[in-house]
Amino acid sequence: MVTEKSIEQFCKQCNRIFKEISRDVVGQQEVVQDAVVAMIAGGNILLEGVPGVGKTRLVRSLGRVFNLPFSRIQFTPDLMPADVTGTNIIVKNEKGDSEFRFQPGPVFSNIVLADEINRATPKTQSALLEAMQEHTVTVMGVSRKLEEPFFVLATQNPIEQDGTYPLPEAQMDRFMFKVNVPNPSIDELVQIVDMTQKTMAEVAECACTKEELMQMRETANQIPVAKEVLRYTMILISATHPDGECASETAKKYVRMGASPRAGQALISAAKVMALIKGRLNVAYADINELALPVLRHRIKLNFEAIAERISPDEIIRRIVQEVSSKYQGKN
Amino acid sequence: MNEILHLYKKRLVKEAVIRSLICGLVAALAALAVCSVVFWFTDFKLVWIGAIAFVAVLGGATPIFYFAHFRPTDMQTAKRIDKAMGLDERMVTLLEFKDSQETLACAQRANTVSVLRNFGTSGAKRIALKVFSAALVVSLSAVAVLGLGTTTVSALAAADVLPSGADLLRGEEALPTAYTIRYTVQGEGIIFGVNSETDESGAVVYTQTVLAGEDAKAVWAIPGEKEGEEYFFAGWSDGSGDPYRADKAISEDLFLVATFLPIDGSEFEPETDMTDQFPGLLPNDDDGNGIPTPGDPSDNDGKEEDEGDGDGSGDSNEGGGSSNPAYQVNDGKTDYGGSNYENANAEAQGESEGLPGDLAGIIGDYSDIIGR
Repeated sequence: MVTEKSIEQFCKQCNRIFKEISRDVVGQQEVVQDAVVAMIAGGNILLEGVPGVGKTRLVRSLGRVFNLPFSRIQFTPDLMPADVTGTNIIVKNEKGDSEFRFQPGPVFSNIVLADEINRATPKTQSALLEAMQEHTVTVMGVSRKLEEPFFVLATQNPIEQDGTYPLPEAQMDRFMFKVNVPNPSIDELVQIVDMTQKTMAEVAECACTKEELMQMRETANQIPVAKEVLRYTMILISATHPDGECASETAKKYVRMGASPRAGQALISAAKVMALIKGRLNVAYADINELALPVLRHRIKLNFEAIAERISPDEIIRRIVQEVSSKYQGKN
Repeated sequence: MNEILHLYKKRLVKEAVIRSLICGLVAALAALAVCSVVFWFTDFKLVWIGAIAFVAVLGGATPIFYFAHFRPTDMQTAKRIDKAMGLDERMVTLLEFKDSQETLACAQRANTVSVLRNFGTSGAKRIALKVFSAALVVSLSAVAVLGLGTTTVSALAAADVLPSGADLLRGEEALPTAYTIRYTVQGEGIIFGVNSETDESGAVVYTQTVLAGEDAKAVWAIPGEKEGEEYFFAGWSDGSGDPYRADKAISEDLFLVATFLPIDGSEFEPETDMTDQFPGLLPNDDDGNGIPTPGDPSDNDGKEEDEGDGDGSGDSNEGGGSSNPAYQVNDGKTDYGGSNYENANAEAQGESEGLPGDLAGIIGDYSDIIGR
C-alpha cells in the first residue's frame, strides 16, 4: 500500500543510498544513479568498462548498501551451466539410502555479480536467461523460484575481445541498462588514490533493507504516466527501427535492428523511478530522453554504414532522441 | 484546480480568437479576389457585391475556424502550460488522472497545483501568444495583395477606366490574322486574277485577302485601250517590271499600283500627283513623273540606260525593279524576244480553251494587243 509517507520515505532512502555508495565509489555519479534506478526498478545491469574503473567495487557496494546476499561468479570459458544454476547430487538420507538432492548454485542469491560475463561460452551464458527474465531456475525438469529481489549485475571488458563470446541479442535484451563506466577524472583519481592508501576496506553501510527496497519498487510503480508520455516513449522505441512505423532518418541510415518492446517496458519502469528520485510525481519527457541511452544502447544493432563511419550507438541514440523530440514534443 | 486551468485557458482562448480572425480574413480576402476576378471577366458593374461577400465570409469563416480548429481543449491548455512554465508534464498528467483516487495521483495533483500557485495570477502571462506562423503570414500577404489588387482592377474596369476582362478577350479574338493586298491601275488597263470594286472616288481597286504568312494569288497586269489609243504595261509601284506577280509570305498590308502607258511613246502625264496620293508607295519614281524606273519609256534611244554598274552594257538592274530580257522595251514597244510571243500566244490560246467566254476573250485580247 502506497501512502504519502512512503513517498517521503522513498526520497529519504534514495539520498541515503547515494550517500553510502559514495563512501566506496568515488565519482561516477551517473553510473551510480543508473545502477540504483535499475535496482529499484527491478532490472539487471550490464556494466561495461576497462579493468580498474571500479565496476566490481560498485556492485559489491550495492550489495552492502541494500543489505542483500551477494554472490560472485567469475565467468571463464570452462564454466558450465551447472556451475551457475546448481545441480543434483547423490547424498545418503537418514535411512542410509542414496537419493538426489539439489545443490543450489551461486545464482540463488539476491545479487549475482557475473564478472566478465562475455568470457563464458554461450551455453553457460544462456544458463542465466531464465533467471534474469522469469526469476526461476529449472534443473532436471524442476523449476525453483529465486528469492526476490533478484538482480544480475554483469561486467564486461570492451577492449579485450580475444577468447570472448559476445552476448547474444536475447541475453542483451534482458539487461535493463547497459552502463558504460568511464575512466575517472583527475580529481576523482586523486580522491581514489588518497582513499585507498588509507584502507582498501569497503565502508558503505546498509541504507535500505530488502523490505524497504520492495516498498520503494512498489511506490515507483504507482507513479502516474500520462498517455502522451507513454505514446512518446513508444514512438521513440519505434523510431529505432529502420523499417518501423515512425522510423527516424538516423535509424534508416545506420540501424540494422531496433529495440524490442522490452525496451519500452524498461524505459517506463526506469523513468518512474527517475521521476521520484528527482522529487516529481509524474513521468516527464525529460526522464525518457535521459534514460534512452542506458536502455537502448545495447538493444540496437548497427549496420555496416555505421560501423564504417565509426558512429557509436550512443551517438545514434542521441540523434534519434533529437529527431523524435523535435517532431513530437513540440506538438500541442 | 479548475480555476487555475480556467485562468490559463482564457489566455489561450484570446490567442485562438485572434488566429481564427486572421484565418477568416484570409478566407474573406480570397473570396473577394474570386468575386473581383469573376466580375472583371463578366463585365459585372456592381463591384460592391464583392465587399458584401468579403464581410459575409469573414463573419462566417471566423467562428468556423474557432470552433473547428483553434478552440483550445483542456489537454492543449495543459500542454501549453507545461511547456511555457517548465512543469515537466505535470499538468498533462494531472488532467489525465484528475478523477483517480490513487495516493500518488492525488499527491501529484496537489504537487502540481502548489507549483502553479507559486506562479500566482500573473503566471498565465508566461504563456507567449503564438498568433502568427510563417504559413499564416505568407497566406495573408498573398491573399491581401491578390484581393485588393483584383478589386482595384475590377472597380476601375467598372468605372471604364481600364478595359474589362471581357473586353480583352474580345479584343484578342479580333486580332488581325489576315492582310489585304490592294491593286490599282494608273493609265488604261486591268488587273487580272482578283476581284475588283469601286471605291468612294470612283476608282477601281482590286483586292485580295491573304492569311498571315501565306502566299498571295497570282495577278496579271493587262493593258487596255482608250479612244483608239493602246497602252502597254510599264511597271508596278514597287519597281517590279513583270506584269505577272505572285507575292510570297505576306506579312503586311500591301498597296500596289500598276502603271500603263500609251504605246505611241508620248510623254505620260499622270492625272494626279502619285507621290501626293500614295506617298512612299512609288519607290523607284526617280524622275517624279509617277512612273517607276527601270526602263523609263521616255527614253527613246533604243538602249536601256546603264545606271552606273560600269560595264556599259545598259542592262543594269541596280536602278530598281527587275529586267526580263524577254520583255525589254524598245521604242515604246515591248519586245517579247523573237518567237517568244508566238510561243506564248499559242500556249495562251491553247490553255484558254475550255475557259469561260469572258476570260478566254480577255486572254485573246491581250494576245492581240501584244501581237500588235
